[in-house]
This record gives sequence, structure tokens and C-alpha cells, in this order.
Amino acid sequence: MNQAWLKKIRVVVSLVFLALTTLLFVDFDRIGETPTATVALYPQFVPSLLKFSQTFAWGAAGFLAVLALTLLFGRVYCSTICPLGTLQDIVIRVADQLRKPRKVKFRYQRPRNVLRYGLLALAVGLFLGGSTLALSLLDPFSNFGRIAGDLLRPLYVVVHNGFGQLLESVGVYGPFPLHWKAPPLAALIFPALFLLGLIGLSATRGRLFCNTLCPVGALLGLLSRFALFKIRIPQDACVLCAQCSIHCKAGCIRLKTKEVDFSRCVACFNCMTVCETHGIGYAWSGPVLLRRSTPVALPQSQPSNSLDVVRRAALSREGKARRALLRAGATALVGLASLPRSSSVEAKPSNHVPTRLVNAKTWPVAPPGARDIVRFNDLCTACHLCVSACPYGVLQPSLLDYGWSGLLQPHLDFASGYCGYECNRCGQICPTGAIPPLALVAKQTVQLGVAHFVRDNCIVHTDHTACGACDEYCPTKAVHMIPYQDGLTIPEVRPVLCVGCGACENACPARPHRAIYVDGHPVQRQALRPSAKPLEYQPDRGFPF
Amino acid sequence: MQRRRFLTALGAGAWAGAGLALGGYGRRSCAGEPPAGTPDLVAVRNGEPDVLFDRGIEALGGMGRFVKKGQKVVVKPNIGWNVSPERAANTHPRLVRRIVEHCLQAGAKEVYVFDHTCDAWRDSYRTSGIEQAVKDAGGKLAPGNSESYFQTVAIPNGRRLRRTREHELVLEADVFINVPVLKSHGGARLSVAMKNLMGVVWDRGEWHSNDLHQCIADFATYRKPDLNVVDAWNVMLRHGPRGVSAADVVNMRSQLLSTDLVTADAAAARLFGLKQPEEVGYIRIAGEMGAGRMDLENLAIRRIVL
Repeated sequence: MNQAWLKKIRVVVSLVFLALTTLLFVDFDRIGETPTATVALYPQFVPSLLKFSQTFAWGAAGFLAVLALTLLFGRVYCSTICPLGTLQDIVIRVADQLRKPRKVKFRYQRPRNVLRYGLLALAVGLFLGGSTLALSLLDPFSNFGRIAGDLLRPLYVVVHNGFGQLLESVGVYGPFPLHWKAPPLAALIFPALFLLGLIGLSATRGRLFCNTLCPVGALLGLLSRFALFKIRIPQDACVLCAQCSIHCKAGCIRLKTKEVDFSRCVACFNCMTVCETHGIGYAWSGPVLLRRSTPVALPQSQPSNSLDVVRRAALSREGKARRALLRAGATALVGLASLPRSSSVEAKPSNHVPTRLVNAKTWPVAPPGARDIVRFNDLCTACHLCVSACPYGVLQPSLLDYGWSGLLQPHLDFASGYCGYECNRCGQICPTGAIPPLALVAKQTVQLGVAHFVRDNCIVHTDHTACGACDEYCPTKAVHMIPYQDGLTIPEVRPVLCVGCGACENACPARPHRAIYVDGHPVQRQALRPSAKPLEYQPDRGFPF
Repeated sequence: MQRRRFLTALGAGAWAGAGLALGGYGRRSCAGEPPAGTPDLVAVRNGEPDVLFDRGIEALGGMGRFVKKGQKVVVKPNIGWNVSPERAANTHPRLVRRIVEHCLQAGAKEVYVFDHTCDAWRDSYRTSGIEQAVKDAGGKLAPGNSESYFQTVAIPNGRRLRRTREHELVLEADVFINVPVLKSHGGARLSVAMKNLMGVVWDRGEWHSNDLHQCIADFATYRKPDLNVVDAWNVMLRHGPRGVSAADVVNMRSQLLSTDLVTADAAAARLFGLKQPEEVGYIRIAGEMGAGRMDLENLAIRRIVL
């Protein structure tokens, strides 16, 4: 039966997902933000799983649909929904165009089960132990996010603004220039290296990443062993043209035995389009009882059947051993995993010698609503979607601000921006729920940290001139001006009103050390809502001049 | 890096200075001599923002006095904050709309509206209601938060502020209309016309760290808008310039119009409740430096109560 049409559908769907996800990460103009957020993010496996683990809501159950799909047809996820998969497919296609004709593209690769299941165990174990480090470094969605958000976005800004300048030179204002607040350069090294590695790997070895390093690929691979429909080579129809094997990006088709290692198949359907006899394709692989009604293209002869039995037995032994290994690995890692996080957070106080003029920050500032730093580190996979979405440019990838466990996770960097009082976008868009969606009213009383005023750094004190930039920006008047000398006023902080938005720190013109700074809370608190006594005002009919 | 930037700035400054000396950018020539009997200050009270402007501009000789056919106009309201109109942290959108309409009626070719906002600019433009108002009136919104739009200019009479970077629209425009909102200000005491001009420059932090009051006054000696319209319809009496809630605001239903921004500020200070305009540092300094007149008692004031 010819199932080559499946590939066309797969390509279209995958390009749609790629486009929507890319748009989410680079879209400054916020075109179609809400629909893309819901459609493209819903089935992304790791974010959806993480979100579901806190909310148990259907709105976050996209990963269940992926699991169901995998149990039906295998790793369809890997070639349609996963943006990193599609990115690799594009690289493969380009590399293919550049290749000399007639050269064999791919060939069968032996499975690297220790590596892929080992890394899966590592990611799961570390996660259960309270660190998303392995997960965020390996998760395909988060890696794609960092590539699109951290690397592609600045390129997009340059092109967009260049175009804007061209139009402006003929007197047209708009497209309006976009702003990109550069993260620390070191934070860009990881996605850059990852992208280079991925390009090299996929150009030469196809989807090897998905079958060695990707924890989602490994997990879905385990599941697809039990898929009801699997891609099979019908022994009788196969003429050994080898086209399927040559075109298999996953390298999972073994001609010697005419077998498809379905746990590694990424369901790209390339084999179906090149098979000379149109033989290779999905076939029922469920329980034998149900198989009677369907025509079967599987080997039926006695010897191969007995071989099948032997192999299945071997597989199940292997499976048991693997499961035991997984369990053992996970248990071992649980203990190990708690080490890096707790020690790093405890060891965080960074200014051992408190200088009066240096901003003595002890804790990083986590995004609003993250509740506490430990919880946040446990749930964030550093996809940087919030970094892209933040209109104030205050969310920036961290390096070791949270310690190793929070590598690359976003923190509030008040040198590059401040948290807008009327803004709650990060929580609305966060796909893992690490930043919970808070209503604006609720977000406005979350205290991320508290402002500290350093009088000896203040321009009013040092230069004896007026300033008040901090007071100007403070949305709650936690920072307000009190009389100083000679009619001058100087800031004062009322901590109960402070939300830790960092607007004061961002606005403070004192250098190199600012005169006001926000120190984060390890556990976010509640600020008082500013109360307002009504003003007494008698309208005047005339003019006071 | 620093040095290169400095040299670039210096170069740009020289060019801008030369441009000013040679061409004067043509903006001084547009508003002709006022007809005899035209007041120095028009104060209107007890009406809606747009109605106040209709009456005020009429008393000042009509918009045709300022805007000639085919000219390029830039209107600079305060759009500093991402808050809604009733908070009065930004100029009232109905006033902005009416001004743009008047300019177009007077024959302006283009009317640009912009501000270098404090909060995120797209959000501030939208939430303030000014984006919609400008669109409805047929004006054009321009961005003010991108460094590339700002050109270095020399301030010949500045004491502390010798050069700064100014938005190119203001440099290019034939007519410059300054539309501040009157409100309290934690650092500068009061924000009116002169303070509003901090929104046409790039590096405000520099002003803050370099004697704020002197810098505001210095810039007032350099950049004199052709018309200043002070929105005192809703006035934020405390917690300015951003405000905490609508409880900081009283409905004063007033408006001040003047070609002299120091006069506008002095009158606004009185309206705000200050006994003497000199209580505000930059008004006193600007008056002393001759940037404009603050001696209200010697000026021709047209008072209109609706």
C-alpha cells in the first residue's frame, strides 16, 4: 500500500509548528500572540509535562496527547511538533542539496541505548532530585527557544531596524525600531555551540541527536516499542533496493534483517516516498487477536516466527534489565541531584566584604510569581520565551546567579530594564508554569525583593543637586522623597510598599555603584497595596495670577 | 570605545552646530510677529480639554498664526507612563487629538506626535489613549525610544548642559508644539513645559546626575517651542510624575497657552498651588538666564472662564 502521502502532511504540519514557534520567540510586534501561544505551545512535550505536574489541568495536558499519538503511530512528535526536529530536517535538506549527487546519504546506525537511556535517566533523576539542569540543557524545545530567542532574534532586530531606517530616510516612520537588550555574552555561548554542534551532527549523521541526546526522543522511543501501528518492511514485497535505508535520517532501517528499529524511527516517512515497491509503511502491530481482520504483510513462516519468539524473549530480558537500570539510576541521582542546587543557593551571598558603596546584593531576583527561587529553579527549563516576551527587557538569561542548577534561567537584570508595574506577560506566556500566570492585581503586590538606599552614593548627597529619578519611576511610592538640606529632597524607602520592580535601580544615574538597588528575596513576599487618602480640593472659579 | 563614541559625538555636535548657524532650521521664521494686542498668556478654565483648547487658541490668534500651509509640525505631549488617562500622568488624549486636528485644518502637511517615554513605549502610547487619538485625528505617531533618532546638538548658553542629543523630528520640524501635563514631581518639584522637554532628548540620566534644575533651564535657553499648551484638566497633586492611583488627581478643568515656556511654567506653578514660581528651581534659573519671562504681574494675561 502506498502511504507516501503521509509525508506531505507531515511536512506541512511541521513547517506550521516551526513557523509559529519561531514567531513566538522573535515576534516583537506581537502579531497573533495569543493563538500562537496556545496552538504551538500546547503539545510541546517537556513544557506541557512540567506545567501539568503542577496544575493537572487539561489546558496543560498536551503531552498526554503526544503520549497517545506515540502509542498509536510512534514518534510522530519528533518530525511534526518538535521545532528542533524540523530545524534539523532543514539542515539535512540543505546539506543534501550541497552534497555531490549519488553519494549515499545515510546508512544504518547501531543503537546507542546506554547513552540515550542513560541521559534520559539522568534528566529524569536530576529533575526528581530537584534540578532541571540536564533537562534544560537537553530538552529540544528549550534548546530551540534559546536558538530562536537568543541568536535569531538579534538578527531579526538588525534586519527589521535596517529596513526601518531605509523607510525613515524617505520620511516614513514605521516599522518602529525594535530594542534588544543584549544578555551577557557568555549566556549566548551555550546556544551558539549547541547550534553549531547540531548543524554538524544533523548534516552528517541525520537525526542522531534525537536518538542519543534528546530525553524526549528516548522516552517516546521507549513508548513507541509498544505502538499499535509500526512502520514495517514487508519481507515478501521488499526487493532490497536500499532506498529506504539510504533516506532514513534516523538510521534505523537494517536491510540485513529487513527490520525497522521503531524506537529510533522519528516518523519522517521518507522511506515511504522512496520505496520502489511502495511496500514499506505502517502496519498493525497490536495484539494478535485483533490482527485477524487486517491483512498482514508480516513474515508468517515458521522459522521466522520462532526467531521472533526468541528475539522477543531477549528483548523483554533486555527491557527488564533496562528498567532496573533506569530505576537504579534515578534513585542514585535523586541523592546526587539535591547537592548542586541546595549548596549553590545557600552559597549564593556574593558580596563577602560589604563595602558601603558597593551594592551588596545577596540574592538574584526571580520573575514575578515564581514564589521562591528553589521552586523556580526546579521548574524552569530556560527556554527564554519570557526573555523574548518581556517588553521591558529586564528578564535576562542568568549565568551562575542561581548557581549551576539555574544555569541560563532568566533573572531580573535591573541594569538592562525594570519590571513594568502594569505588565504580567512573563507569567502569561511561560510554558512550564515556572512563572505562574498571575492576574495583574495579584502580580502588583508580589514582592520580588526590596530596594535599599545607599545615601553615600546618592547624587543629592554627593553633588548637592536635585535628582529624584528613583522616586520618579517608583510605581507604589515605596521610594519617596523627604526633605534633605537647602530645600533639596532625598529618597527614602518604605519596604512594606516595595514590590522590588527595580525601576529605581534602573533609573538611578549614580555610577559606578548605584545609590539604590534591589536585593532579591529567596522566597517572594507580599507587599502592601498603597492606600490613597482622597485629596481635598475646592475648585476655584478664577486664577491665582 | 568610549573615546570613539566621544569623537563621534563631537563630530556630530560640530555638524549640528554648523547647521544651526547656517540654516537655523527655519523654525524661528514660521511664527511671525504676533498681532498687536495678543496676550502673552491665555488661561482657560472650566471646560473639557478640547473645548478649552478651542477657546484658548482662538484667544491667542488661532492656529493659523503658528502653522502655515504645507509645514511639518511636531507635537510633543507627555506620554511618559504606561497608565490610563484618568491617572493624569500623561497629557489628556482629547487635547492631543484636538491640537492635531487644528494643525491639519491650518494646512499642515504632516503632524508628528512622539515622546521618549519612561515606561515601555508601545504600551505607553497605547494605554495613554494618545495612539488612538492621533490616529483618529490624522496625525502620525513616531517612536522616541530609539537612540538612532537622536542627534547631538550644542547648547551655546548652557551652564552645565553644553550639548545633548535631541530627537531629529524636533530638529527638522517647522513648528514645534509642546503639550505638557501639569503634575507634581518628586525630583524637580513640578513637571510642566520645560520639564516635558526632557522627552525630546536621549540621555536623561545625564541631566539627573549633572544638576537637574540647571540642565532643565539650560535646555530651555536652547529649545523654545513655538507654542506651549499646558494640560491642567486633570492635575496630579502628589506622587508625581508617575502617580500611584487616580486618588492623586484632582479635576482642575484648566488650560494654559503661551509662546513662552517659562511664562507657562510660572503660571502653572501658581495654578498648582505654589505661592511663588521661584520655589521651583529650574523656573527661577530659567527666568534669571533669560530663557523666558516669569514676572506674571507684568504680562498681558487673557483669562477666560467658561
